[in-house]
Amino acid sequence: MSDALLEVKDLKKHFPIKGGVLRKTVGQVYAVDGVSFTLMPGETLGLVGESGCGKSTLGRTIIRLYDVTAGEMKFQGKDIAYATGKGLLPVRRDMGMIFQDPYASLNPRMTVAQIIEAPMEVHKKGAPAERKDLIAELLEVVGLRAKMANRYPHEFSGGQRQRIGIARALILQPKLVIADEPVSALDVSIQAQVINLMMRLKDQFKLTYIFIAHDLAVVEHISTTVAVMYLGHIMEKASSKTLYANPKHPYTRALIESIPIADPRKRKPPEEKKTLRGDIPSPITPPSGCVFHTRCPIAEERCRVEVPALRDLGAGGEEHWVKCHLAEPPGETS
Amino acid sequence: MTAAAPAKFVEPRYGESLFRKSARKFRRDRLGMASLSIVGVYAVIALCVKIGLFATLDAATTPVGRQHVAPGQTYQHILADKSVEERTSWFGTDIRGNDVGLKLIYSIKQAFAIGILVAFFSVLIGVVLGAISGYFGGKTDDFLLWVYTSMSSVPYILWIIAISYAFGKGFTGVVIALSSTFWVGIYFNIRAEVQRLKEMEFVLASESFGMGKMHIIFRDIMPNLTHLISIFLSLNFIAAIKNEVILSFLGLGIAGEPSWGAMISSARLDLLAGKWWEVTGATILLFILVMAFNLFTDSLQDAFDPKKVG
Repeated sequence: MSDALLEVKDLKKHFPIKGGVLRKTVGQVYAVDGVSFTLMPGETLGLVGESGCGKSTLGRTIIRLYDVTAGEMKFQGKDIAYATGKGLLPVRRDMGMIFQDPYASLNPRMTVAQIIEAPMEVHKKGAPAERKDLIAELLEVVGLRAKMANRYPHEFSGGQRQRIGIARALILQPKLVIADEPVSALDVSIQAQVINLMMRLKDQFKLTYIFIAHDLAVVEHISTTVAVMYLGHIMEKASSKTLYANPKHPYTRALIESIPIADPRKRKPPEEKKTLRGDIPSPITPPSGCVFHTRCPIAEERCRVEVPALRDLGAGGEEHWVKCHLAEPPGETS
Repeated sequence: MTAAAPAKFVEPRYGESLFRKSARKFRRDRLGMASLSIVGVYAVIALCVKIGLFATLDAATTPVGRQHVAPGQTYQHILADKSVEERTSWFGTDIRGNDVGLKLIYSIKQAFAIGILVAFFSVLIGVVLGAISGYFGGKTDDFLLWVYTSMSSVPYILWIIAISYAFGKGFTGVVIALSSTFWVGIYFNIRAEVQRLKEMEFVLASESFGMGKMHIIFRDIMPNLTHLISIFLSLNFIAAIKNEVILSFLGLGIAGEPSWGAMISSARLDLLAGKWWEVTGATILLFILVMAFNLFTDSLQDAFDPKKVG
């Protein structure tokens, strides 16, 4: 597909662990270990997984805050995985990032105007007067008032700060916005407001999102496609509707079942629930075979030995990628 | 009912930077303001001496008459034309007949000069090296950390002795010796703070749209170190003054010019003979300055600590 906005192929990001007096590499953290996906313009890819599964690392590697260990990455047809200097310009200019903690993502010593202006200064966009108008306009768009531009971050609430962070990510009019758990630090009542704002901005600015979250319920609302990550691998990827209605991977099923249901009559009895046992294994020594086999309720002998391939088990021309030996394509019975 | 607002409460104002807010909070702190004004008086005296309004080096080192005149005592001074004049010495004279009062006042300038220079140089070295070490990491960090460990494993008084032998006794030697030992603590603190700051999301945000490394250090990191820098400046100012006294007392510091340390050192034997005024004067002036400055630093810390700024 040549019209894809972002193509990621077998992307790996390993962090070396240094030890001893001479700082020799004594091990690797396999944070992202072979991830492939394609993102079309206008899509919203929800990346879901437990903490430590590599979803934030994947986001930061795509926007090249981290160097790539192995694999390929194409953004608007240009190779960006190993680009440096000027070659990184498309990434720096056409990708924006929204961060998790609105209390840490804004420099406490700068005014809102200075914070939002910084990307324009770096990319020499517009004259100072134009910039001021742009900032004022964008502040109104994200639901703040233009005269707040001269205030400092400590004068705002968490939700307001996140709106400032969103304005900073959008000021260069990026094509792709990577949102790294943008609402998980906010109150539940504010989460919905920020998500609605992001959906509105998506239409207004023709954005494509990679939306990272650990909460399936949040992702369902905003995403067109959802990818479930576990220990640095994508376990299942399908359109949002399909994934929630018909999860094929045992891990996805467990995650969906763990979403609390408000209506007691619709709840399953606890003995029917396939809750996960134990904790996520260490990404330093990932399990052999299928990385999920240590916690999988239906694991077989071959799951311990053989690495499953990411297979397309979709029906009716729809994609539904699953990384499991035991997942069945539709129509077949085991 | 007297519902007085808490002393440290400062009501918010729109568009006010953290620095201004802290300054406003500091102005509310009475003890802090009182100690600052005492330090201010010292500073004004030091400045006047520096520009030569009174208590010049000449005046402080020219004998005014008899030796060991007690404070308030009247003595007979023989003028050049052999006539005798009655004079009163308010602060007494020392073993050479120099006026203790003038020496004390001249020493204020000495103390301020050493304090300011040492605080400036040690903080400059510590902050620059700490920021480089903390931000770039890797081999640079390893090397600077090695220098830090080596420096801090030498007992600092030995290091100072070595420096003052190398550069000679006197003002310059003291400034170099103290600056080259005082930066290590600052370096280590700044390095740790920079390591923390560079992982903060606002720095990652700047990296994500391609801001240069130097730009990040000066725009994102340095402004967030101002509270540490101001506290280190004030701590090292007073530490330098105290250490000058210790060094001069040990005979390693300022020689040939008056300073509190040199005065205490040279008059300590006089004390046994009941000539108390020179040691006492130097000690009282030093005590008041150190005390006032420490209180000032405490209030500064309270007002500028970002964890306490609401």
